[in-house]
Amino acid sequence: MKPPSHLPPRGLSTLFRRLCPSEDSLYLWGDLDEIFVDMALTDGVQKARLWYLSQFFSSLPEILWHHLRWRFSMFRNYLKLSMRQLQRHKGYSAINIIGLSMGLAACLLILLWVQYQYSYNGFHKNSDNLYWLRCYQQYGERRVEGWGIPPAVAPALQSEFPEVLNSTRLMNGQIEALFTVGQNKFKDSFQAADPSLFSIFDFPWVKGDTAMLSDDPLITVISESMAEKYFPSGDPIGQTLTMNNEVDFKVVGVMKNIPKNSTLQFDIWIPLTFLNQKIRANFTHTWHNCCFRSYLLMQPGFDLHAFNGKIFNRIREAKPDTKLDAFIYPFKDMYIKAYGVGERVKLISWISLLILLMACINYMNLATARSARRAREVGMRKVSGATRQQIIQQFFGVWGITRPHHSGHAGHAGSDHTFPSRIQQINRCAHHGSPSFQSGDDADSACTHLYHRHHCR
Amino acid sequence: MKYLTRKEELVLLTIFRMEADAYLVNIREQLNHTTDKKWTVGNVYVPLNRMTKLGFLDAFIGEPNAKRGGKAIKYYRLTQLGYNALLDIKKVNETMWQDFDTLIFEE
Repeated sequence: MKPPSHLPPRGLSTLFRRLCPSEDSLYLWGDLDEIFVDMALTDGVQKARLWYLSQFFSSLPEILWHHLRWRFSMFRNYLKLSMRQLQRHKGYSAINIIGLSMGLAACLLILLWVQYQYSYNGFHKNSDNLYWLRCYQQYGERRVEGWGIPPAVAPALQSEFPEVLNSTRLMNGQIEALFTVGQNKFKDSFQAADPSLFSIFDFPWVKGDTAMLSDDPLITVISESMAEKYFPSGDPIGQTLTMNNEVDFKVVGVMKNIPKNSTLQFDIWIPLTFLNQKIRANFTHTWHNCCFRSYLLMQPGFDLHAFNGKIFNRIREAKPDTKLDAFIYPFKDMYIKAYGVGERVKLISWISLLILLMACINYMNLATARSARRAREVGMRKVSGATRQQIIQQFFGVWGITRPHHSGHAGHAGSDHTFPSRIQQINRCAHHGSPSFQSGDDADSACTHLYHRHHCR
Repeated sequence: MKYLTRKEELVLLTIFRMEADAYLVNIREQLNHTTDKKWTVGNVYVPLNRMTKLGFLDAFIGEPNAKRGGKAIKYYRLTQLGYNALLDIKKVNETMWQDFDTLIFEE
């Protein structure tokens, strides 16, 4: 009957149909087509096309708005009904809601803890190229991946192989000593390490200039909290710290307190070379004694396997009779894999999922058990013409009431304010490892700091 | 209580007058003709849909049509409820318009 050119623009008509959510959009579509064909026959196809396009802009918003408003009025009815349902069965509702929310909260809390565990050591800018120099150790039959390395290895590797950009050595563990400032005496532990520690890792300073770091064995860097403790009034830079009433250290810098999600934790840094004085002359130059940790900053894209071979040969070169077999290990895997935290994290993640599953099953069970009661309501709705889909929407709608409130309305001042602060509180728990809610400005600011650190990185 | 809007009133009256074959295309043409205004499809569709949901109109599906690309027609018919709603609005209108001609417009 009609030539094919009299079809309305295909893209527009499908769009019309897609956007129109109503069940009778088919008839509306048909009506549109009919008017189009009539117009095309009388006024020409071009004009009909234009009309169709104008209808798209003038009618569609109106139709969409109508459906939206209609849905909302139904939604209001569902809301009223579900509130009545809650009020009528208080005990049942309490069990149901508290059960589900506790399950969700527990799951959330655990997942935040897990996230925190994965944030360990992530704040170092170089963390992708940092490697931990380790060696295998032989205990009779057992071959163990050791944690330390003799002190001479790292400097030799750095000076001889170009792929090693920088290296640092730390004494394994901290040493306790008596520190004296004026009349005040404090017992604290210090970490002996190479000064390159501060260029490889990100331990920012708040006072002092990192250029002041030298090979001088009698300098020290302290953390902010130590600075407050030792020098409550006045600038700590240039002051002296006396160790064990024997040696004087000059304070050259104050660093920020090290965040809790760092595996390296220390408050007082002392140069490693000082140990040569304190213990014995060549203490930091030997090719044995694995009581040192070494970290290497590697060139991106180096060959790890070949480099391990080079380390093997270099050690044989220095000490032909050695059994020492060294290798490098990615620094970023240190906490999760080498420290064995991964197993625990995995186990606890599974537990959290289990809790969530149990909470869901509990909710579902209770809801199903009550369904007989609501069957009457469903019956009434069906009799008065509700479709199957509408009833499904109603029951899911009750669950959806709270959702847009949190994610949709960004301008909503109340939820905007409370939601992040709750999260912060939970995060605080996760970071301190214990579920005690701390208060006070210090804890608060430290937390905000940590929060920003590992979320905004 | 809520009265019909002017638009709804016009659509209902048009359907009432047409009696048979009342569907969107015809209704719109009739409205264009009587009001001498261009009604968009949405202008007609929205009141139709709303009043069907409120029970003022009955909808039933007609036969498919080649002109419509094989899509069926949805016809509308006034119900008793719709008739009552029209009566209500008529009463209000009559009260409001009463003596309009004899009232003197003062500047």
